Amino acid sequence: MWTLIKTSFHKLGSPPTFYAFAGTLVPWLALLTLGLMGYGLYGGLALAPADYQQGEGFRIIYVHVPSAWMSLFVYVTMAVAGVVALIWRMKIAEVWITASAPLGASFTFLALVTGSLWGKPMWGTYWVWDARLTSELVLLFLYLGVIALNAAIEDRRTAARACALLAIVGVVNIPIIHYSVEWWYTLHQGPIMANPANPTVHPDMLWPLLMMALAFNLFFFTLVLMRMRTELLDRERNSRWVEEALT
Amino acid sequence: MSLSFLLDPTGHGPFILASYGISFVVMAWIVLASAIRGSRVRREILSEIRARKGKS
Repeated sequence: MWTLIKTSFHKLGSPPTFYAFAGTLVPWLALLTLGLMGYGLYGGLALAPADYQQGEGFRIIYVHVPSAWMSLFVYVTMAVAGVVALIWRMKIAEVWITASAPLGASFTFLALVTGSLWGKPMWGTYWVWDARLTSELVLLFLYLGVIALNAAIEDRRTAARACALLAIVGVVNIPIIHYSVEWWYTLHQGPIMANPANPTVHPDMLWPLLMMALAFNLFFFTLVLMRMRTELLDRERNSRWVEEALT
Repeated sequence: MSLSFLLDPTGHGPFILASYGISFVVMAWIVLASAIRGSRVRREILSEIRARKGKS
């Protein structure tokens, strides 16, 4: 089993194999994303009952919470890819960081904007400098830093290594974001899924949320694979396999 | 099932509409941007390949 995992890992580390594999996956992932997002939207906007305290405004969680979860998840994957890129010098890991940074930045931006739009009717303000909101804003700056660093350095492999380093250093912010609502007294409420076996949300409200979270996850994987394919073609444009793949 | 709450300007409708609207606009934008860049890179590489073949 271990040998199979190791062999697959090494095979997928080869750009031509990865390019072909990702090309097969993308359409299926896109279809699954559309299906799950459709169900999640229907469930969140139509099936879930209004919240007894927040009224209809609670429905913003169906875009806010998945975006926030994804903002953390994407950064963790970038940090892991950063470790792989620095230790094993795998091109695919470098390309993963470059391809996912704009996606992570978009999810973080959405988490902040939709959170503000939820905050106005619930808290009476779009923004407060509390620990959760501030650390999430720092995460957006970290993503923008990775994007800017990648654009600023001409040599792609040097740029990728610098981005890998920044991704690894910045990952310290992830537990700060996650535990901010427990470590400090914040206006932002505590976790709703602290104990997945016993969630504090009614199943009618929870299922659409889980479907939307899965849809956002698949959306990310669809997009990151699409972007990685483009990045690989661009980096290896003079290789024989690129010519064979495109002609 | 009623979605009339979305159109109620006195309730939370505008905030919900804005949240979903912004989310899907941003997601559509990133899909489009990725697809456009992908097709531009492919076009560039194909024209380079044709140029190389023309020279040889």
